[in-house]
Amino acid sequence: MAATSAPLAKTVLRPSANAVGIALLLVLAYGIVPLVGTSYLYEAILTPFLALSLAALGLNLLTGYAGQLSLGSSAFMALGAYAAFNLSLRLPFLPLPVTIVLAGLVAATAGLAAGLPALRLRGFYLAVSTLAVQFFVGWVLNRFAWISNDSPSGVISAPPLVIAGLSFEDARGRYLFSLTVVALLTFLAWRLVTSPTGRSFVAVRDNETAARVIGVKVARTKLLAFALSSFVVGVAGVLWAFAYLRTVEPAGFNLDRSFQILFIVIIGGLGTLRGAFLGAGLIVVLPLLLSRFGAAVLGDGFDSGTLEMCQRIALGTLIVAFLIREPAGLAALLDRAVRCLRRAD
Amino acid sequence: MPTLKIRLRSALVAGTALLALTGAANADEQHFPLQSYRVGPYAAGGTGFFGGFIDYLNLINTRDGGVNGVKLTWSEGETQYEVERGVEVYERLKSRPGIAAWNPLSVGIAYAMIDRITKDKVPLITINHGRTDSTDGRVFPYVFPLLLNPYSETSGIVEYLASREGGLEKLKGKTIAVLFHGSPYGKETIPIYELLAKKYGFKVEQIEVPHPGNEQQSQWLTIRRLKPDYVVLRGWGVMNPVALKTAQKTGFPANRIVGNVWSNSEEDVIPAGEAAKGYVAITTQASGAEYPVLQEVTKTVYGAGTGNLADRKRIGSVYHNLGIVNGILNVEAVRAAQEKFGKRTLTGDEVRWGFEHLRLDEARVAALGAKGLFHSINVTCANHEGEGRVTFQQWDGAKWSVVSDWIAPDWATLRPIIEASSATYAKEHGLTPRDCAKEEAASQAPAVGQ
Amino acid sequence: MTATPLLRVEGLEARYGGAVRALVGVDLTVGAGEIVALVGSNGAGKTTVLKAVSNLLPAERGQVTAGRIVYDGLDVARTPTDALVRAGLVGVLEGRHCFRALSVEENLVTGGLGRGSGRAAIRADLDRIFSVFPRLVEKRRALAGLISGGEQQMVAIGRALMGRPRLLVLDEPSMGLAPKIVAEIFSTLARLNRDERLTLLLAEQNVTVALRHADRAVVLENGRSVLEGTAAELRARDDVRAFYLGLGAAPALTAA
Repeated sequence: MAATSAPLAKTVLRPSANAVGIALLLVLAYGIVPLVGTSYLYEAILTPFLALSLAALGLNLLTGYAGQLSLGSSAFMALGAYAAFNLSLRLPFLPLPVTIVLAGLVAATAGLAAGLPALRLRGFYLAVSTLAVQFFVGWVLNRFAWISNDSPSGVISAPPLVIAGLSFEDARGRYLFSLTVVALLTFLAWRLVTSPTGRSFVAVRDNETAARVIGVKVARTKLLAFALSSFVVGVAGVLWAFAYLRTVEPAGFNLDRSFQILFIVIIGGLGTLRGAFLGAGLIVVLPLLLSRFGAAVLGDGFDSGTLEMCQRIALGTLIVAFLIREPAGLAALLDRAVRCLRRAD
Repeated sequence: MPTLKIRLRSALVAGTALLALTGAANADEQHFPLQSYRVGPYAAGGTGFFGGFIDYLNLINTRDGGVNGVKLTWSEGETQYEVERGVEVYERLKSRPGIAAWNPLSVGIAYAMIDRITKDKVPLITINHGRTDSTDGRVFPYVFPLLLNPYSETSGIVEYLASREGGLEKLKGKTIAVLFHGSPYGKETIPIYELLAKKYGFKVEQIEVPHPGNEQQSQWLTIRRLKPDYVVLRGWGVMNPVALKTAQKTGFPANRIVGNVWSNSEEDVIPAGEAAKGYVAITTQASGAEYPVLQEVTKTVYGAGTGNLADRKRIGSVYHNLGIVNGILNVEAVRAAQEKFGKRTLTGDEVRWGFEHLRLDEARVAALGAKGLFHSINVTCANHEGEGRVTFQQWDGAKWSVVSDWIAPDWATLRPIIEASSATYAKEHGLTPRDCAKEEAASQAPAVGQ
Repeated sequence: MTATPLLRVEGLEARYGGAVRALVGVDLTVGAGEIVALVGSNGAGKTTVLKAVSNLLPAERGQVTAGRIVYDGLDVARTPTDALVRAGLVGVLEGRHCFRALSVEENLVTGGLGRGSGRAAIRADLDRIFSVFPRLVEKRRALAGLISGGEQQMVAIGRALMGRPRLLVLDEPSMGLAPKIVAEIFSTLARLNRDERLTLLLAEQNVTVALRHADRAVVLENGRSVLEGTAAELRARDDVRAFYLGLGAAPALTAA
C-alpha cells in the first residue's frame, strides 16, 4: 500500500502532498490494518497483493523505466524463491534478511545473464529471448532434483519466518513482514529512479542513440536495469513463496504469472512506481470483489462455473474500459482525479 | 440498476432469515468446504469429483437425516485448479463453523494448505494423490493421502503386470517402458520403477514426454525400437489420448498399455476414439452405476432433482465414483469420530482422530452398498494411506470394465523410502515425529465425549 | 589552421550490415577552435561520418572498414562513445532526440551524467546552459516532448554542452526549423566558438547558413570527400554554388 510518488510527475503533485499521502498510507498499513484486519484480509488479499506489487515494481524498473521488455519475470521470482529455500536449508545459520538479500542477488546474477541479449536485441526480439529464460529456468528447476532438496514431487515447502527470535508465523506477522520488505524496496526503488542512474534508464528507454552520444554507458545501463529489476522480482518471489503460499512448485512460476505481472505494469502505468501498486490492486482485489459481489447477488447456490465465467467477462470488460479511458494506466487516471479534486477546492 | 438493488436486498434479507433460522434450530452440523474447479482446463475432473462428493453427502442427509442426526453441509469456492485461488477459498471458508475436512483434489493446492491446516488442526484429504511422504502420519498428522499414493500406485501397476505374466518371478527379463509427463508429478515415480526393476529383474525404460505432450512421434518410435512387453502411461491431460493415438499409428497394441490414476478417466480415452479400445488403467474405485450406493444416489438424489451432475450420463463415471468413494470415506471418518467423541458437531481435530481410526473391512464396505466399488481401507496414526487396494479396468470403446482382482501394492518395500522422505521434511521444518503407540494408549483412556 | 588538428579523419570507409557501402574515402581535419562544415546532398554520407567520429556505427550494425579517425591522440574506433564524451567529444544527433518523458532540466542533467559530474558541477553547468539559452529557463519543468522544435534543438545542444565538450559534433542543427530560430542557434554556436574556443564540426544541408558561419568546409559526394577549402573560397566557387546552392550550370568537379 506504500504507493510512492513518480519522480517524473512532480508537475502534478506537490512533494509535500505526496509525503502526506505516503505517510497516511504507512499509518494505515502499519497502524490501522493490523488492528482491524482479519486473517482472510491478510492471507488472501494483502500478502499476495504485496508480493505481486513488488514483482510488478521490479519489472517496471526494467520495462517502464529502462524500456526493456521482459516476459520472464516469473522465472526470476522462481529463482529468488528456490535460492532462498536452498540458502535457508543449507546455510541455516544465516539470518533471514541475509538469506533474502542473497536470494535477490542470485536472481540479479541471472538477470545480468538474461540481459546480455539486450545489448543486441530490441523490442519483440528481446521479449522472445526473455521468453527463453522463462522456459530455461523452468527446465532447470524440473531437471535438477537437488534444487528442491530431492523432494519426490519437486515441490518445496517454505521454512518458518523468524528474524532474531521474532516469529512472523501468523497471518498478521506475514503481512507485516511482507509490508516491511515491500516498503523498504519501494523506498530504494524511488531513490534509484530519482538518481542519475534512474535518469540514464529513462534516457536509454527514450532514445538509445541519443543516450549513447551524450556519454551514457548504454550496455552497462541495460545490464544494471536487468540486474536491479531481477533483484526486486527475486525478492518478490521469496515473499510469494515464504510469506504467501508457503510452498513452491516450478509450475507455479509459469508464463501465465509473467504475463500477469506484465499486465499489472501496463494497467497500472509504465514508468511509475505507484502504477505497480494500483495495477496489482486491480488484478488481485477486483476479481475477489467481483466474486463476493456475484455470490451475494446470485446466492451460494448458483452454479459456480457460470458465475466464474461472468466474473471473467466483467473483469475483462473493466480492464478494456480502463485502458481506453486512460492508456497511460491507473497511475495517470489517479493523477487526473487528484488534479480535478484540487481544482474543485 | 433498481432491479439489481432489489435483488441484492432480497438476497440479504433471505440470508439473514436463513441465519436466524439455523440459529434458532441450532442443529448439529458438520461442514465440508469445497475448493472445487468447474471451469478451466480440469473442469471435467472437478465437476465429476465434487459432483460425486456432493451427491453422496446429499444422499446421507436425505436418506439418513445426516450422520447420527448431524446434518452435513457444504459450500463451494471456485479455484480453477489454481493454487492462489485455492488458498483464497481456504482463507474465505475456514471460519465456517464445524468444518470436518478439506478435500481439494489438487496437488498444488494441497501443498499450499499443509502448513495452514496443521496450524488450524483440520484434516486435509488428498485421495489417490498428494504428497507420498504424507502417508507417514507421524510427521503429517493432518494430511491423509487416502487409498493410494504415487509409490503404491507404481507398485500396484507392477503387481498387475506380474499377474498378467503369471507371477512376479515371470517379470524377470521382461521390458517395461514408462512414458511419463515431463513435470515433477511425472518424475516422482522414476526411482520407484528403478527399485522394483532391480528387485524383480525386469528392464525398465523411462521416457519423458515434455508438457503438454501433444507430439509424441519420437517417443513412440523409441518404444517401437525397444519392443517393450508393456508401456505404462503416466500421463496428464492431452498427453493421454495423444499417446494412445500415436501408439496405434506405430502399431503398439492398446491392451499392452497401462495407465496410472491420472490417465484412467473417460476424458483420457474418448478423444482417442478407436485407438483406446483395449487400453487398461489402474483405479481405486471401479466405474459403473450398478453398485447399490450408486443406485441409491440415482434414485434418491437424482430422483428428487437435486443431483449435482448436469449430465446424468456421467453417473458412475471414474471421477464421479471417486467423489462417491471420497464421500463414503469422509462420512465414515465422521461416524468413527462420533463414536468416540459423541454424536454432535465435531472439531477438525476430532475428525482427524476419526480418519486415523477409519477401518472399513470388506463386510462394512458391502454394508455401505459399495461392494466392488472399492475394496477396503485401514488408516492408522502412522499409516495415513490406509492400505487401499487397486484394480484395473479396460476400455471397450464405450465404457470401462474391471479386468482384475483387487491387488495389494507391496507396502513393506515402499515404507522405508517414504519414511526417509518424511524424515527429510521433518528435519527441514524442525518437527519431532509423533509417537503413535503412546497416543494410541492415551486415546484408549476413557472417552472425553458426552 | 593549427599544427596538430584536434580531429583527423583519413581514408575513412564504412559499411552498414556488412554490405551497403556508405563511405568510400573521406579525409578531413578539424583544428582546435575551428568551425568546420560538412556539406553535401542528401545521402552523401554526412551523418555516417559524424557517427563514425563518435564511434556510434557499431550500435547501428555499421562498421569502419578502412581508414582511421584520431581525436586528440585517441584512436576513435577503439574508444567507446562514453570515453570519447569524457575526453570532450560530444555529439548532437540529427532530429534532436530529446528524452520525451524527462523535463527540460532533467534532459540537461543527463548530459552531465556521462562525464560523471558531481552535484555542484551539474548545478553550475545548468546555470551556464540557461544563460546560453535563456529561452529554456521558463520551460525547465516542461516535458521535453511537449516543447517546440527549436526549443528541443536548444535542449539537445544544451545537453551536449553539459558534457563540457572541446569538440561539439552537430548533425543538421537547422533541420525543420524556422529561419529565425536557425539564425539564433547559429549565432549562439558562433559565440561559443568565439568566446570559449569551442571547436565545432557540423553537417548541414543548408549550405548558405553553414558557409556563412564556418571557417572551412568539406564537400562530400557519394561517400567521398571531393572538395575542401575555406568557407570564403567555397562560397566564391562557381561549381560549388552550382551544386549546392542551386545556381548556374554544373561544370565538372575537380578535387581540391
